[in-house]
Amino acid sequence: MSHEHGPDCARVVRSLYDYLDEELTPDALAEVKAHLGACKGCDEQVQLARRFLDRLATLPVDERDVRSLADRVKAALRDEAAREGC
Amino acid sequence: MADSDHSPMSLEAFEAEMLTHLPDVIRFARSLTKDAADADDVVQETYLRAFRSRHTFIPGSDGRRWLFTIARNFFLRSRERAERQVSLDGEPELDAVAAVQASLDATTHGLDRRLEHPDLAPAIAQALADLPEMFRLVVALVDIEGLDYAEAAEQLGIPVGTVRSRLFRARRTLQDTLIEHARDAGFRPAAQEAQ
Repeated sequence: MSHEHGPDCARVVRSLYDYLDEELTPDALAEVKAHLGACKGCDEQVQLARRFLDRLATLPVDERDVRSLADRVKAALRDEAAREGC
Repeated sequence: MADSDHSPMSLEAFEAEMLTHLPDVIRFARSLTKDAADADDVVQETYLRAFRSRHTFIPGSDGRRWLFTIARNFFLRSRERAERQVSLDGEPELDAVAAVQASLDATTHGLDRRLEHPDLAPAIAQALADLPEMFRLVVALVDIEGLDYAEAAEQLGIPVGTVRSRLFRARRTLQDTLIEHARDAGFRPAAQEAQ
């Protein structure tokens, strides 16, 4: 990784999460997109942050935990349905 | 979303439709709470509340999103709001500068090459649980639930700028923790591996 951050790069990295979260204004979005198209280093930073956020959003849940909680939830729902029927 | 014209789903239909989202609801509940047992309680209460108000669910709409909303509302309303201390938020500009450094650190220490490593998942989960609640909640609402900054701000009763600032700090803290984890686990940066 030989990416040297210049003033434009620093500004883009500061906007990195706003960019990924689609929170940039149209003008700022255009500026970031133009920079990313021309700067491989910043584009790699964006891809890394995107993968980090994807990983965060898709943390695996243990199948045993799912089964155990499914049993618990089903039992609670059956009790609730029985109460409704009373 | 309330629509009293819909006849309520049977228990069997409710389970068939809503339990397919259970892993997602578990993941979301764990991101909201610090403790796995608390998360399990949130999940159970979410399904019970959803079942009680199933007449408000519009067939064909997004059941996952509906369950997330119920889970989030239950959790937030059951919490004390004392943690909402704006004084703990730092200067946005300092956060921004730190973000640049964190981004560089992530690549320097090889996190970019290790993100998909299975061993990182529990480390991420633990790092998330270790975040102070005020930071964990913005991650839960924005990164896990998928709300935008304005929606998260409304739900948490804080300004949009505070959501942005807390999100910045939370993500940076998570990244820093993962870099530490990768280092402790003996993951080497790409430059060293090439030698």
